[in-house]
This record gives sequence, structure tokens and C-alpha cells, in this order.
Amino acid sequence: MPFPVSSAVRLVRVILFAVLALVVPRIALAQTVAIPDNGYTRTNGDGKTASDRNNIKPDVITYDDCANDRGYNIVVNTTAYDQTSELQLWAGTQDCTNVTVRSGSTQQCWRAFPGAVPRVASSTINVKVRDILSYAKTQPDYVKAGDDVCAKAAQANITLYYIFVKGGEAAGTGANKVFTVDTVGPPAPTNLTTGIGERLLVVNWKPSSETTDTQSYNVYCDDGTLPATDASAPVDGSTKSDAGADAGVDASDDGGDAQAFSASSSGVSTQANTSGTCSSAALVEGTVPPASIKPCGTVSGPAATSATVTDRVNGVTYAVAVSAVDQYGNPGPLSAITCATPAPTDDFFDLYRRSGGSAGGCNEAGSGSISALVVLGAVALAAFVRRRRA
Amino acid sequence: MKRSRSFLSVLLAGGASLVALTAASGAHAQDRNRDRDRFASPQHFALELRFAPYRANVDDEPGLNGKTPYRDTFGDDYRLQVGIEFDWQIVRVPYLGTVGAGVGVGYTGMSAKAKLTGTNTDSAEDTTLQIFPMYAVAVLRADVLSRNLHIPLVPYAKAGLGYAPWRAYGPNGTARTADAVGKGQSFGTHLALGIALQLDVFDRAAARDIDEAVGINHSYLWAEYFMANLNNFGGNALRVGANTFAFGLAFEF
Repeated sequence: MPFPVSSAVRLVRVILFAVLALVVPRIALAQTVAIPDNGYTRTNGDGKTASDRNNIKPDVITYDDCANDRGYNIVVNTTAYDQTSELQLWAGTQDCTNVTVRSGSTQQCWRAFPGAVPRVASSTINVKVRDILSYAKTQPDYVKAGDDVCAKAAQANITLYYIFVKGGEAAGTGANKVFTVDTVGPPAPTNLTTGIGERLLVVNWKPSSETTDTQSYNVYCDDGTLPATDASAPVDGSTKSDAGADAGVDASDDGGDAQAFSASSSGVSTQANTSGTCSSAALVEGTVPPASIKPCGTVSGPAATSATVTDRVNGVTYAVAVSAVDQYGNPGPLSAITCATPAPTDDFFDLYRRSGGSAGGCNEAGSGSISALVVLGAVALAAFVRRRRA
Repeated sequence: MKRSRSFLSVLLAGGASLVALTAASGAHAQDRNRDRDRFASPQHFALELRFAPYRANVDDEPGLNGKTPYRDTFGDDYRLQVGIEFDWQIVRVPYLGTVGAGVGVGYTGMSAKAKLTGTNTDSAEDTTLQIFPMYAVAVLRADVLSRNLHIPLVPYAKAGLGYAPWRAYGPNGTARTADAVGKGQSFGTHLALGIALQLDVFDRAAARDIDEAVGINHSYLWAEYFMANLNNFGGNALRVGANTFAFGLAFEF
């Protein structure tokens, strides 16, 4: 009995329907995530916009961002956000869409945002910088015990992955964002000496050995009134429980092992052109100066070797230290501390007047004399031109 | 006898040839000079590039009563003065040279570490004196030697008035005391005597080419001794002038 044509057509239709029933919903329900232009806004620790960081590129994370617990407000737009999946944020230097680097003994990525992105078409989430850097944070699963969060990343690229996770597997991803992370300043300058003048200090040093990353130098002066720096506190501003055991700074910009530095600056020996001894509770050699301590002087250029700090007080002894600053504004650890006391000086004009000289003062007549010479020269030049043309 | 006569005739012939050659050479040189004068571009100006070791006469001020604030601050070392002078050769005096007027401007400065008050110890603070020596002078350049006697030397003399604004600096800008500001100007006389070596003789063809190309008639290396007596003609002045040698290059065009 021949197979009826109508039955064959019906069979084809059924098969087509079945295929479409399987495929179409998947096409229609594909989950997407997108971050609009300007979707990243840097925030302070309180979640408000950090307007003072506009000079730093949005995709650069610095020590200052980390130490001040800054973050990003991120506008996340989704489509077809499946109720059975979670949109998670992962960070790492590997491809975090691979489940093997998100779990188990081979885990190398970490959650940059606790929980899941809300299941709405558009939401704004606040992601902490410290969570983006949390590969060094003291948490289970992806811990490097003893590392602090903020002072470990020297010129690293960390990618933020947006991954729809369903049953542990990645069910879609997109809008990945690469952050340049540099939280370690250049090594400290060496051979610091501080000279004195009339209400001023002249600070000299040997440039940081890493001049490619150094952009400027900050000079810090403590007349004994600056608040003490807790040398036992982590330099990244985190809590002690976060920081682990190492309170020092890794001043080698190569990501090597952390070093411990002397936390005492008292009894600093005098150096050439440096006067007296002093102690500073605020300036600690080898540690990154806290953001709360403002420099008394700044000089630009990686090869700078000197800075003059004015507006000091004669007779007051200052503890002085210098920190190199990199292209992202990260201060490096402080140099050795020197002490200096500004004192009155006699410049040439002081000596001349005191010796009985009577010249000086403002006499505008001079400009007229200069003008006369200029006019004379111009007349001669004009005559020359006329004769040459003739 | 015959032999000695023959020798004499050879000697005379040789001497005559030498005289003839010398005369021809001199005539040729004169012809060259005439050609040069004929084809040389007009000459009315001179430009000098000047360099001088400079130590200001500040400590000569009578009011200092022998004290030496300049030497105490800046020491005995000379500083370099650089400058430029432009002359207008107004009149040519036959068989003498040119007479004209010139103006010059220059710059020199000296820096040292200020002393801690009441001590001879250097501080880290710089103290600086900047001087802009200027002058307007009458200039006599006696180029008769080079033009008429083929001796490539040109003695010259200058006399006129000098003027120099100056400013003393400390770390915070212009130096100040309780009753004065460290800036001012001094004036007085400016005299100079010098001699210039004409460089044309070393390569006359090149000198001619330069004249044809850019109109420079003569080039010189020169040296002079000048006295910038900037004492406000006896008044109160920071004596920033100097008595010193100068040297440099000069071009007439």
C-alpha cells in the first residue's frame, strides 16, 4: 500500500514544527547584557560620584581608588534575562567564561560583585574597586593569604566579565571590560639631603631607579604637628583583618615579594647640608604616605633631583622625605627621612646694602633709556635696508 | 775677468727678473684689490658678536668703605658676558678708516649660594645678580692698514655712554631689604680699544664669494679692552660695569 502523499506532508510539517519548537524559543530567549557608553562612573566609598578623579582615565584603577574604597556605578542593560540563570560579575586575568577557572583548585577568577545583577532590563550596580582587585583579598577559594588588596598590582590588566551562569555553566556573556590596574608607586628616591635657606628648604635626591614609570616627586615636611601614621596598619587603608600580616609595602615595582621596612624615623642622623635631628610620627621611611598627609612640595619630571620648599618657618626643624609618583598618581614609599631647620640668610643685595651700598629701588627711568637704544638700533637698521635696496 | 763679467751679467739678469716678477706680483695684487673694490658690495655697517670674561666693579663703590659684598658673595671668578654690537659706518675718512656710531647690548649673570646670616657658611639658597650691559658709542675703525698696505689688521677705538639695568634675585624672586628693592640701572662712560684681524686674507676667493652671496665685505676676529665705568658719573650706583677684555667675530657689510 503506497504511503499517502498527504501523510508525508503532514509528517514533514510535524518534524518542522518540532524543530522550530526547539529552536525558536532559544533564539527568542537569548540573554544579552550591554553597558551603555559612559556606563561606568567612578564613585567614592559612599557610592557618590568621585568628581575629583576626573583626571584619571575611567578604566584605570589606582592606589588612591583602592585605599579610599572607591568603586564604579555601572549601568547594566539586559534582555531576556532568564529566570533560571544569574548574571554574575567575575574578574580575572584569565578567560573567566571557562568554568574551570571559576571554581575548584584551578580557580583564578573571582566574583567582583556579590550576588547577581537584578533581573530587570536596566539596573545600576556599585562594584567596589577592592572587589575587582580581590584576587589578593582574604576570602575563601581565591585567596593569596597575607596579601593586602591595594598594594600588589603593578601595571596589570584585569578583565571584568559579565556572565549568565546557569547550573554553574556560562549561558551567555558579553560587555567584558578591561581595567588597567596599577596601585604600586615607583621605588623611593635615595641619597636624600635637605639644605636650608631663608624660610625655605632645598631638597635633593637621586632619582628613583624606575624612571619610566615615575612622573613626579612629592616632598613631605613634618614640623612635628602631622598626625601619627600607624606603622602597623596596612598601607592600603584596609582593615587589619583584610590586610593580613604584612604591613610593609612592596616597593619593587616588579610584583616581587613584599618587603618590610623600618617604621621608625626618630634619631635620624644629620647629613651634609642638613641640620639637627628630628623625629616624625607621620613620615615613616619605606611606607606609602597616607593620603591624609599633603605634600609640602611637588616637582614634575622623572629625572627631577631637587625641589625648593618655601613658606617654612625659620628656627623650626622639619622632618623631610620624598616619594616618587607614577603616571597614575600612585605615590611610592617614602625615602629616608632628613631633618633641616630654615635659618636667615644674606643674599648679595642684603650684603651690599648692609655694607653701605645705596643703589636699588624701582626706577622706571630705565625703561626710557632702553627704548632710546632700541630706537637707535631701529633707525640704523632702517637706514641699512634703504641703502641695500638703493 | 771675462768669467767675472759673465757672472755679473747673470746676477743682474737674475735681479732684474726678480724685480720684474715682484713688480708683476705687486701689480697683480693691486689689480686684484682694484677688482675687489670695483666689484665689492657697498659697506656701511658692522656687526660684532661679543664674548667677555666679566667681573663687575661693584666693590669699587666708595660708599662701601672697602667692604666687598660682591667678592664675598660671588668670589673672584669671572663670568661670561655675551653680547652683540651694531655699527653704522657713517663716514669714510680717506687713508684712515671709517667713523660711525654703534650700539651694543649684552647679558651676564652670576649666581652663588647665599651665606647663613652672621656666618661664612653657604646655605642652600641661590642668590643671583643679572646685568644687561648696553652702550652707545662713536666708533673709529682704522682700516687703512688693510686697504692700502695689505696688512690685515684693523685697529679701532670706541667711546660713548654705557647703561646697564640690573636685578638681584633671591629664592623668592627679586631681592628685597626693608628699604630697597634689588633692581635698578647704572650708567656712565664706555671706552674701548681693540684690534681686528681680517680673515679675508686666508681665503680671498671665499671672502669674495661671501660678499657676492650675502653682502659681507670683510670678516674679522677681534680683541679689545673695554672700560664700562658705570658709576652714574659719581652718583650712587651699583657699579655693574667692568674693565676687561672682550673678543669675538665681526662682519662688515
